Amino acid sequence: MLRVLPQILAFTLVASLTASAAYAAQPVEWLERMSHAHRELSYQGIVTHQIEDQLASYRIVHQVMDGREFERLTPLDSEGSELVRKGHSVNCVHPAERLLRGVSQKGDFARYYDLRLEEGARVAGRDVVTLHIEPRDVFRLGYVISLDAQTAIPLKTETVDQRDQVLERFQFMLFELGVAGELNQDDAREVAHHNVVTDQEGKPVHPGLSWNPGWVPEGFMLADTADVQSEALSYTDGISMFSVFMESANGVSPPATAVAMRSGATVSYTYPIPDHDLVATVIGEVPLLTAEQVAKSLVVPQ
Amino acid sequence: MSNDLRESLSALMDGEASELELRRLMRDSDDGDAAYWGRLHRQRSALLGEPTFSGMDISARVSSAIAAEAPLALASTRDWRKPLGGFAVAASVAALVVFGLGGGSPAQVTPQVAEAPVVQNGRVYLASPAPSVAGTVTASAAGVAVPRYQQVDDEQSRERFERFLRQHTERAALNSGQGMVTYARLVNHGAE
Repeated sequence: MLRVLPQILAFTLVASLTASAAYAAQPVEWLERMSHAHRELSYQGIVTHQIEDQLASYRIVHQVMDGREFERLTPLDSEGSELVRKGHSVNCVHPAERLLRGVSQKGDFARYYDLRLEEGARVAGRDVVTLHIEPRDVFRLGYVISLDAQTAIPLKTETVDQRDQVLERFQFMLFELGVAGELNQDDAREVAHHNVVTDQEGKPVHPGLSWNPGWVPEGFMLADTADVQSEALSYTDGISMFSVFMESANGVSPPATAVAMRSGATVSYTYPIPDHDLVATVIGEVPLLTAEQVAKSLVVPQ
Repeated sequence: MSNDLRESLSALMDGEASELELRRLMRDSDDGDAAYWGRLHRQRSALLGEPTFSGMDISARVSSAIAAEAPLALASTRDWRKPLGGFAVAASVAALVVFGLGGGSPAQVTPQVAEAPVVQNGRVYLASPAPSVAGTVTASAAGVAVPRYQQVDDEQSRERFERFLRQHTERAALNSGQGMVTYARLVNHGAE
């Protein structure tokens, strides 16, 4: 009996640790961790992107040095050149991240999505917890995100439509924490970094533009409008994002009718406004209905 | 005809058919199913008090017209793939679907169905509209059998899509919790 006791004690200890880990694993807390984990850690791997029956694979390297991010994405099965993003401060918090960071305190996210957690699966040889994010209205898409149980980095992300059909899938085939050496690539293309808006943040319209949407789905807020010259607005609800672009109809020979297009989870809705010689395009990872309604709600000056 | 197909047809009629169901219909349906589809429409027209065209079957004419038509511009990834100024990535967006939406009355809404270029195995890719606009856009599902076929300038629409997708992704990459992985949306899906 005495010999068994330590084993029982050890078992109890393990059980209570497991229980406390399970307690900590609230869906919103995982979501909150996800919003910044992928930026703060160094990792590398092979990731695939799937649309319909087409699969493309990439090598991704993400390194954090002195509080700045360095990132590289290299296509492995096409001729496209690699992309790099460098020197982005880990402390530069973007609007969607800010929306998600406070998610367990503020109940806003839960107004638009139902969250559910599932445990026990594996992706790329690592244990994951799977976060089901289901929209509560018809203006958003759903997500099934498998987060690395250790780091909360998304290892698999499926974007699903309102009928639960997968539109697009990102999935790591190989994932390793830590990056050896320094990223160095001279001929790679650097991607743009847009400054974070602060004065317009949280507002639905931008006062610096002559046009604005008359309607966006509840919960979406301005995300990125640093450059008014670009005649563009972007909105996020924390997880989904769409952008509105306005171009002059002069010289672009606008379509005679509205045109909708889809690639994976991304849809676009182009809407000519002939009375003002303008063409509006709404593009993003939202249902076509949302893109269409936002485009049709645009208010332009007389 | 199997009950499954019949159910799928009636779901298609209501704009509820999934993409998979639609593909199965296009693959497995026969003349009997076509007749059933016609009957469904006549019943609906009768219920709605619309004039019916009971004896009219234009499907053969539409099919031959479509067969005679030149492939859409986007059917070739090579043609349009010219260098985009300053943008090093060969941005051939995968499985792009285009459909024009009629400008006027809903009755004329005839989204066009573009075949995905790279696959070229006869599959038709349909964009599935959100359920609540199903009433207006479902005509697309039956688009093959609708005579009003509005040509959209595909190459230009495609160019616009890719230009804005690029800008949108640059804005979205930092706002999706996913990071740089989302740039994969821009990169060529091994089309060649």
